[in-house]
Amino acid sequence: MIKKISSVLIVTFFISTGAANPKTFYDLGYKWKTDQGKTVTLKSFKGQKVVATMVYASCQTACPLIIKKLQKVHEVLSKHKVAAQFFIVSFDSKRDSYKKLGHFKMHNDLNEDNWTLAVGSEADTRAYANILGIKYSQNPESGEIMHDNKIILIDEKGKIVKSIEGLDASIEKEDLF
Amino acid sequence: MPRFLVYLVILTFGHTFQVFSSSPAEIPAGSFTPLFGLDKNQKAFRVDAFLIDRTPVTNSEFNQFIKTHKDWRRSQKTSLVADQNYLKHWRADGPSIKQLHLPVTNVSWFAANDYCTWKGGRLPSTLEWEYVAAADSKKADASKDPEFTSKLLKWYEKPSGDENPRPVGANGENFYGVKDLHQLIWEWTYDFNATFVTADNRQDGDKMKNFFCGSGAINANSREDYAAFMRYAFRSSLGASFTVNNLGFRCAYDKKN
Amino acid sequence: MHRACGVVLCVFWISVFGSAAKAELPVEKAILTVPPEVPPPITRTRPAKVVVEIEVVEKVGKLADGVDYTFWTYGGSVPGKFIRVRAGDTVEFYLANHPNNKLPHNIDLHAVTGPGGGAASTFTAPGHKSKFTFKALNPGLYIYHCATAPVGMHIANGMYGLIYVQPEKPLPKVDKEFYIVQGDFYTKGKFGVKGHQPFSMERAIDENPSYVVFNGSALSLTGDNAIKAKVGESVRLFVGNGGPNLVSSFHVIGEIFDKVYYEGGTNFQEHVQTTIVPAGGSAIVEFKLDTNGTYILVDHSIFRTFNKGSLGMLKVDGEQNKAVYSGKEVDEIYLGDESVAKNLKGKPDTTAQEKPGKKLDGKTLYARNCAMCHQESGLGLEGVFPPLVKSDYMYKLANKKDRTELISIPLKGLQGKITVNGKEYNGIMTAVSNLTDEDLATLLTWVTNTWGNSAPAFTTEEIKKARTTIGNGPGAGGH
Repeated sequence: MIKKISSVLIVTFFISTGAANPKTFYDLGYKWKTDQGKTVTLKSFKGQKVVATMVYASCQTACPLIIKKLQKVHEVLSKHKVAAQFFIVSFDSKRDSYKKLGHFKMHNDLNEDNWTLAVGSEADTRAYANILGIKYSQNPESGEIMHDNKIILIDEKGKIVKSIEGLDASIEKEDLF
Repeated sequence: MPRFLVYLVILTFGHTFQVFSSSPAEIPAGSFTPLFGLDKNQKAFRVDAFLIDRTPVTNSEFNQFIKTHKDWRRSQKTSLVADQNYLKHWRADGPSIKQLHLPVTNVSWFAANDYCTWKGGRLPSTLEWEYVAAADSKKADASKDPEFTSKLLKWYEKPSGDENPRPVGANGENFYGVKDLHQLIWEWTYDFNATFVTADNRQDGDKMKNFFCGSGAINANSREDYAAFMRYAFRSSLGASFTVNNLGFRCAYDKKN
Repeated sequence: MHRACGVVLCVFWISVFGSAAKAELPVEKAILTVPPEVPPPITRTRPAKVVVEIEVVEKVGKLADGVDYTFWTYGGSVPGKFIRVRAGDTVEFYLANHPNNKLPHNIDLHAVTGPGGGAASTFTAPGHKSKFTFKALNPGLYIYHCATAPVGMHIANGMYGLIYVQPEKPLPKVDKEFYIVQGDFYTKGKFGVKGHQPFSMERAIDENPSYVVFNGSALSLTGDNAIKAKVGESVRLFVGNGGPNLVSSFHVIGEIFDKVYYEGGTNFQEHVQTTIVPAGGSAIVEFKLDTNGTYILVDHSIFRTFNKGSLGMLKVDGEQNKAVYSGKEVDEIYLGDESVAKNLKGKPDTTAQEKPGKKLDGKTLYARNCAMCHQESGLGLEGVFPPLVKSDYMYKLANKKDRTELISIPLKGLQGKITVNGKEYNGIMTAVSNLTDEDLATLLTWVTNTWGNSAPAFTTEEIKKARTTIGNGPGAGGH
């Protein structure tokens, strides 16, 4: 009896953490709170192209530049009528509340429907960054975050197809999907 | 009759030894200067007390994990969370008898991370790992001791293929009662890719603003601890889904107050 | 109508040539060679995409006779594989790190224009493989090496090689091309201490190598491994210096370089005796072989050659050209000083001499300390190193009552003109260091009683006594 209960619990545990068997980007089970206050998983993007990156709201140096680069990507894709979701996750799981991200979104004019900012638990953030191949460190005392600047492109089948590195914003259609 | 008693004694003590050595070691709080990570105006980090496995996770222990987590079976793995060499040294049905007490290798960060979560813990941070690993058998911090570091360098020089696999726990313990942090396998840490040892060692002084942001500690704290340098270099060559045949792990646990 | 046709034809031809220009580059797999071989010259006259695959292997090899060392290699050899491409080629480079290796590695090719010379893009963990692509913009001969922390250690363990970017207008064809790279090695034990030697970081920081060798070993270009050519042939040496620390004064004894493309660049100097090869740099030297013999490749910072191993051999077969080099022409009696003549014939001391107990036998001691110059056969090298086989010079000294003079030769060295078996030698022999009195007695006993020589055995006491007599004064021989 106990064995049955525990195996049920274990299975449930797995479904919830999503450690299960992620075949595509959409199968990853990490839970995010969006700037709208909604709780989502990556399943909500199923069947769509995703432009993914990570920033944090109090970043003064690179993050404004990465947002600019994302806006350029947005511009190029719109021009060529390629539909994609822009999903930006915060590195700073402790200090970036979803409300703060809402302000950040407004402040940077990321107003269209296909922009989503989100924040999750520290463990999910670390694992997600590892899936995307984005390195980051947090100084345990000052709280300051050092991170790669990468934009990851995921196709409509949920496969990671490209990693665009650096802050220089010269983007052409060939660089994207 | 005496022989039977001898066996009984061995079994009893053997069991005790197993139990004793399998409970994690308590690491007291302290202060530590790691090779990387400090800002210009920081001298050392405070490390809170924590617990850590005395030996790396073995093939046998990892097999227990797989028995209850069928998704981590060898045939199930995909490239997102483990590459194609995941557990390649096992037979189709699990580790061979010879492998049971050897440290598990060919596991990705995701596998190690999930195992430690299952155990009620986590992977140690790089700071915690380096803090415990700075100790030799006599003192807490032997990282400036040339004899200690040259012993480690000697292991780094030897190709893995030339070594005979050794069971965990065979060698002596360090100051904290922890074994095999050195000279057995490389080990995963929670934030293994957090340091910016650029792949090209000569650019460490260059902020490379285009690729990384945030000021501060790109430069190594001391250029003499070559053994630590090589560990950071190894960690920074990894991706989280990588499996390497000389890379395993052990778990850390928060201290409950 | 005609004009319209003309326009149509123009457009047609432009599109044909346009698409030809945009057409894919031909793809070829690079021929990679192990030293001292060089891949054949590239004869095509258009750029191509060249695929290069190199595997890093950490392995134990022979640094010198009786001395093992753990080398980290590109493709299993030190230096690593020779890469030959043409200026304007696009190189698709794969770096594989063998799963048996302990450490991560990468590569910095000095021929690459781009971050780290490729180091950032090729950082590879064991059991993995990286790829990057670069365009070979500049012609020239370039070093490549590992740039993983700590860089000095990776280079010191042998992670270097040469990539030659052939200029669009290639150098004139020669008969033989060879691949030679000098390197300095740092072991815990001194030169000659046998067994597996670990790397010494202290020595490396102090720039105090125990070995300085060509192609990763004191044995790589000597004896059966000597490079070979024939009289009349033209030879080109692609010379590199992996360092990590020392600069080389590259010289070939008995030859003058007709051309030296100094620093592996475009311009050349002519009639050069010795050329500098910087650490992390190269040179291309050319010469024509006018007469036969064995030519010795050295670093002319000469103690490295005789005491640390930077010696290689080029054996040239064929007719001797007496007009260029006559060899000994005259051998006649020279009476010299009367008082010297009196001492010419000494009687062998027949009183029983104690044979010293030996740890190493004389043959092994000879092989380790003397064979490099005097050869395993004891025949030496004509005109360079005197023979020990039936040596009248040695017999004379070994059969004197007081043999201090002979003992002083290994103890302090010898320079100046001597005549051995009717031939004149005027070189420098350096002292044989690191031998105990017992070992030196064993060695001398063996040498003076082999190859048709005979002399009374040497004792430890005799050596000790001679040492005190000789003291710290200047070397014997000469004047």
